[in-house]
Amino acid sequence: MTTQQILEKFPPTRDNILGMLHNIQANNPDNNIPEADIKQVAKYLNTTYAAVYGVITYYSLLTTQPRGQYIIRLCKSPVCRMIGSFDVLKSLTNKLNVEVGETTADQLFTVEFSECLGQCDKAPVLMVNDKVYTEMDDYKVDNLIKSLKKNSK
Amino acid sequence: MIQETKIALKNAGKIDPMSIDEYLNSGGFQGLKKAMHIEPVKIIEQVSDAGLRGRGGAGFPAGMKGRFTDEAICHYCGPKYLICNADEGEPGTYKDRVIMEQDPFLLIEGMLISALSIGAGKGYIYIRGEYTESIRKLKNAIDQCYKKGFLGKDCLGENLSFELELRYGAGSYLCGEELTLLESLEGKRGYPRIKPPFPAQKGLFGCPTLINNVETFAHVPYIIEQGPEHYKKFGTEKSPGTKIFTVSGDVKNPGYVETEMGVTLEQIIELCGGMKDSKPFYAALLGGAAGTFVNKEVLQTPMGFDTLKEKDAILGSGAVIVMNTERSIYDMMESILEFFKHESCGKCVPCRVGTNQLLIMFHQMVNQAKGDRAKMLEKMKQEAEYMAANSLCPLGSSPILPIGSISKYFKEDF
Repeated sequence: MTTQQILEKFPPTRDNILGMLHNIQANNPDNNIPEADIKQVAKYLNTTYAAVYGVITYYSLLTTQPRGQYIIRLCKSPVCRMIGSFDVLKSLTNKLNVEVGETTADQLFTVEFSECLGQCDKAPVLMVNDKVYTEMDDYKVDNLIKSLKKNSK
Repeated sequence: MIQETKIALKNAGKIDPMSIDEYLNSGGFQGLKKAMHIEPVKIIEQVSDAGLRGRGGAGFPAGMKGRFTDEAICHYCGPKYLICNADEGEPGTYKDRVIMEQDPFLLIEGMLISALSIGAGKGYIYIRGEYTESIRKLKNAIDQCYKKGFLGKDCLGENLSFELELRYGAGSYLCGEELTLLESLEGKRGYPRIKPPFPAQKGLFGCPTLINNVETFAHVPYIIEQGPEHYKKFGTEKSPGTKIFTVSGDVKNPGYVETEMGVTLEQIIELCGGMKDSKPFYAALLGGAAGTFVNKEVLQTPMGFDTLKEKDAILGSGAVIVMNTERSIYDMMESILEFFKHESCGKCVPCRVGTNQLLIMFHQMVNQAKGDRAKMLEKMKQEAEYMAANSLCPLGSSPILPIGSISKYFKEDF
C-alpha cells in the first residue's frame, strides 16, 4: 500500500494523525517513518513538517530511524526488573550481539526498552512487534530468536 | 478466608469476549435498557448516590464529574464527548487490560449509559498502542455492537445516536493523564494542559467532555441495574464497591483479584496463595510508580482511598507489588526514578529538571555510608516536595509518593 492510500483512509483532520502514523510505520519494511512520508502527512493535513515531526519524536512507539524486521521491546519497569528483565537483556544482547537501541547487521532484530507492558503477573515480559511473550528466561529467548529467524526466511 | 466479589469482572472467564450473544445471554445490556427509561439527570444521581469513585487512581467521585459535565453543557450548542481512558501505563497495573480482554461489552455498556446521562453523541476509547490483544477484542466488540444496533444511529432511542471510535496511543505514560490525553486525541504532542478549565467545561476540541477510566465505566451498568443502595452494601463507607487489585512480585500465584474495598493487604496476599516459597514479607508498592511503599505495619489496614491516606499511603490504580526480604528497595527506587525521568514530557521546568536531579541524587546516595544516605534521602524528599508544589501535572507531583513513603517506612535501611 502506498502512503497516499493509507492517508486517504482517514479524514484529513489533525486528530487522525496518530492513526495515520501508526499505519505508515507498520506498512514500512524498515518499521519507521521516513522524511518523505512526514512531508506527505504534513501536506495531507495542511500543516508543517515540524508539527508532524514533533508528534513522531514525542511518542516512543513512533520513530524516524530505520529498524529491523522484528522490534524486540523488553519491559524494564519495576516488576519485570525485580524478577529479572536485566538477565533477559543479557541473553538478548549476547545472542544478537547488539546493544539496546541497535539493529542487528542482518536487519532482522532491533532491541528496545519499554515501560510497563501490563503483564506484571507473568514477568519478565517482552514484545516482538505486536505479540507479547511472558515469563522469559535464557532458554525461551534462545528459542524465540531461533523461531523468528526461521520465520523470516 | 475472604472471598472475591465480582462486579467489573462478573463475566470474566465465563463468557466468550468475542460474542455479543453470549454477553446478552448472561444478562448484558440490562442496565442500559433500564437507563433508557429514566431521566438522564437521574442516571448521574444514581452514580453519585452509589458513591462510585474513579478507579483510575485519583478516586475522584464519578457522579460529581458527571454533574459538572452536565452543568457545563448548554443544551443547544455544540457537541459533547465521552471518553474512556484506556491508556493504562502505571507500572504494576493491568486491571483495564483484563476487563477489555475478558468483557469488552461491559465497558461499552457502561459508556452507553454514561453517554445517555450527559447526552453525548460521540465517544472515544483511547487505548495504549501496546495493548494489541485488548485492541483486537474491542474492535470486534464495537463492530458487533454496530451490527446489533447498540451503537450508531438512534441506538439510544429516537434522535439519540452514539458513535464510538477506538483511538490508539503511541507509548506515552503521560497521555493517561486526562488533560494530556485530550491533547493526544487532538493529534498533538502529549503536553499537559493547565487546569482549570477542567474537561467538563472545556475538553476535547473545546467541548464539554466526560472522561472516565475503564474500570469506572465497568461499574456503571451494575449500579443502574441493581440500584445505588445495593451497590453501597459492598466496600467501605467512603470507598464503596469493589476494586480489582493486580498483584505481582513475590506471591505464590501472581494475578488479579476483585474484592470489596476495605480488604487488607494481608488478605490480598492470602488470596494470591501467600508469599512465594514462604519467604517473609518485606514491602509492598501500592499504586505503581506513582504509588507508595509500605511495610508490614500496613498489612492490616483496610484498602480504601481514605483509610490508606491516613497511613500516608495511596490506593492508586490498585497495583500491589509484593517484595520479600531478599529484595532491595534501592533497585525498586532506581527503576521508578528512571521511569519518571523517561516519562517526564519536559514542558515544565520543575519536573524536567527535578526528575533528572532525583536520579543523580540517587546515584550519589548509593555510594554513601549509612547515615549519610538517610540525609541524602531527606534531600531527595525536599526536592520531590518542591516538584510536587510547582509542577503542572500529576507526573511532577508523583515522585514524592514513593520517596516520601520510603522515608516514612524504610528509614532504617538508609
